[in-house]
Amino acid sequence: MISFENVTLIYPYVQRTIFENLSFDVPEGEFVLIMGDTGAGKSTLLRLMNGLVPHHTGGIFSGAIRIDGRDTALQKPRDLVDLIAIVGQNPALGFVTDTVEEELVFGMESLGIAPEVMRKRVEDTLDLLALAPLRDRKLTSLSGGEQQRVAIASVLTMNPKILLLDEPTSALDPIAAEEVLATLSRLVHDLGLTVIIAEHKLERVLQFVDRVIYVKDQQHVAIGAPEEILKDSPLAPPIIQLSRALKSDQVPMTVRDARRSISHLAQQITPPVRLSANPLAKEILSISDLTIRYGEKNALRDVWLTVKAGEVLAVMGRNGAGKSTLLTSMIGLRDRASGAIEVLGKDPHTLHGADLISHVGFVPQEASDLLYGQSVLEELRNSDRDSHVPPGTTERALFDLLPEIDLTVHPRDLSEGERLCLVLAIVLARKPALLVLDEPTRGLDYQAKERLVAAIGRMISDSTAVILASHDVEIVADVATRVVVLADGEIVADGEVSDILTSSPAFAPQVAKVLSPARWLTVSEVLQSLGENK
Amino acid sequence: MNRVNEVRTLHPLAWWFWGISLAIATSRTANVWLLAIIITATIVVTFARRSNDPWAAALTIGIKIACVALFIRMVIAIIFGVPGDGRVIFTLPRIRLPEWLAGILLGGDVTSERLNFVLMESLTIFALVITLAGASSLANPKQTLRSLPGILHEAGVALIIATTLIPHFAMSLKRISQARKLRGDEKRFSFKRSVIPLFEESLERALIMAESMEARGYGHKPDAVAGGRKKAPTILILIGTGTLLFSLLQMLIGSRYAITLAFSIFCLACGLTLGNQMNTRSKYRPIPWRKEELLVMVASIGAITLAIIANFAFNPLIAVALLLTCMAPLCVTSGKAHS
Repeated sequence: MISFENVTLIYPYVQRTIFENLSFDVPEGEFVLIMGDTGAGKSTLLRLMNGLVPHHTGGIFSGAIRIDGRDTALQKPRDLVDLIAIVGQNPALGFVTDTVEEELVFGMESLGIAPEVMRKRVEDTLDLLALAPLRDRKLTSLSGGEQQRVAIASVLTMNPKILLLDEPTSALDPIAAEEVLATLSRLVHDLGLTVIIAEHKLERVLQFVDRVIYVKDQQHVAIGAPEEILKDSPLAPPIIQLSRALKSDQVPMTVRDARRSISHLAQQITPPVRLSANPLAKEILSISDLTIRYGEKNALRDVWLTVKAGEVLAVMGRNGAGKSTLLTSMIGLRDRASGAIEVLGKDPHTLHGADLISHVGFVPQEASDLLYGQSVLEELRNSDRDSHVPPGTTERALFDLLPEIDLTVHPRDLSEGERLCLVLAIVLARKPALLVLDEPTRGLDYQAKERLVAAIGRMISDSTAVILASHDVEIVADVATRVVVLADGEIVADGEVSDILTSSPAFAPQVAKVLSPARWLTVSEVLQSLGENK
Repeated sequence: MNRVNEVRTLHPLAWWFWGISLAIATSRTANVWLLAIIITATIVVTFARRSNDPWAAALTIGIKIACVALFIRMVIAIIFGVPGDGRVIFTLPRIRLPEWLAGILLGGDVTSERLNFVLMESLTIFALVITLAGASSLANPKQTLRSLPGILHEAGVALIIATTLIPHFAMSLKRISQARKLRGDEKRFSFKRSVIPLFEESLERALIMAESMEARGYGHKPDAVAGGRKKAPTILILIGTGTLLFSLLQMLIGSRYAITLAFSIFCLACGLTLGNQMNTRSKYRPIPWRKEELLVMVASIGAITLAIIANFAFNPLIAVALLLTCMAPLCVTSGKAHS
């Protein structure tokens, strides 16, 4: 279906070879995963397939890519839409119209499909993706998972044979992600569509895919069955890491495989006891009876929460449950209807400038929002000046997180993980008592997540606390000491991380699912216990 | 189909036809009573049939703008004196202006003739604004753009995108100012820290949007159509628009405009028909043009005719007939106009 023949791609202005002599074939009707570190070229590979690269981005291209026999070099992406369709990383930014139904017909109208056919296809697609109840809704009023489904539906109406998706679940909560992936799997099995997705969260997708393309770097692109590729790749989801830790040569793809093949290996060892927070520690944050309204709707209702020094609190819950509202209220960005927030005894609403950032450091969902300099060095200097700290402080903080970074590059050219490190360094320069992170792992590969975990570990002490909102159960299992679950603006659960994460299947990390009922959460715990046993 | 609960509204282009016809009618009459009738009819129809959508507020805004314009025009008419005969109502103290402003008179006699003339003139402008604002609050702008001929579609899409980008722009601005607060930046405004990130973000968004449109077949042309023939309708439409503007100019300065106007309409019509024949786009669920729309069209043309006739022979019967024709949309629609 898709064939690459000696494809080479060079971006002349950055003098970088993106791919060199790449050749492979993807047969029809497969579910294919593209994995690789951030910046390895996953998105570029996807966009090469439908011709957006190089038609839309420029670059020097040689070799041939044939999609169902049609050469992408000879046809523009807009003329290939009946064959191959792409859904971008952030579907909301790609929406052209403003209601669900109009969005679905946009492509078909451009193709000049007869009105009766269009009418029929819209109804079919609405049913296929369970969007019928949403057909008249405004696109901006949809949740992340719904937007993703509309984006998929809007290209499916053109009847493509191949569907490309760039990180379709990175912004979604575990349930919505499951829903999108199950839909894709159904399209592959029922309609014989070829689906190719690029994704970091391997634990979510591996169970569905037939084939994996692993982009290591420009020279090395491996393609093969998932078991084969993941046997010894440095990128691996927790279950495969667990299997390696337990010295098994099985390569389990699903939790079921793993329970059958390797769970018995962990019977002899006992989970370590997680340290709980010191009850006498200083109180860093206290929220009492907080209610926040958006118009008529309560975004948060009667929230009581205290966070003590040394705690790492994870806030979890569905998209739209009020996580971001709760987090941004801690830095005084929200108008409260009632209640009080105090950070070290002070209301963040009354704090400004350097005083505010020495109390609370906040990393927003789009970490790059905080960056506006023309180079990394300029950012570091600005940060020193804004936080009133001696020159070089931010630079040192950055080198702690990321030793090998080029200070002359533009922040936009950094990888997602590097950018997060830069923002963390800026936020930590003033040594805030409370660090608040909103969805920090969005778009991060495993290596970047490890860096984040290390950074949080280093910053936590007996006078600081960390709060993070995340959909990523694996990172929560790794760093958090306590979990709060929000639903509809209310706290529905609050407790030790091992209690909360093992109590519901949606929030359980893979290791917990494999080794239940024993209360393991992470591979590193298993490794640690194995070390102690020896 | 449940006929009782269904909201009946008009094709957006029919609403515009009605609004523009009433606007033409106002410009053809010099009678205060007729103007008052047209204004009242527009306001009644619009308030009865508009929906709750954001564009429905156009009339309220239009009324405010028209009132302000009327007020300013009257104040100027009173302050700046124009020497002339007539019955003096009151006299303002005259203010002497420097030599180089000779010819402009501040203060002086205010005559009733002059006030009447200015009131009439501003009332016409007032009515023009009201009729057009009425049409724009009744016709869904997106549907209007969608129902334009296919060849104008690309311009329509550009407009739709521009309108969806405005709220994004506001959101970006808010995010950037929050980000500056989060970095402890205490300065109120900084070009480098507010405007540059805003431009960067808008550019990036535009690129993503362009990519998404490209990947969804926007601008797709079957092989048969691609080629040089495509240019003919574009050129015709350009000539048509140019001469149309010229004829409007002629109309304003009072010279003969009939020939240029006819020529421009001919060019536009040819261009649109030609372009439409080449158009390969199709329309999803087009809004039907029914007999109600036709009726409103006929009534609107009737209103223009009545306004012209009333110039020569005014009698109360014509006024009543005008009121009825202006109110025609009220009879063929029901409930609130819906998007």
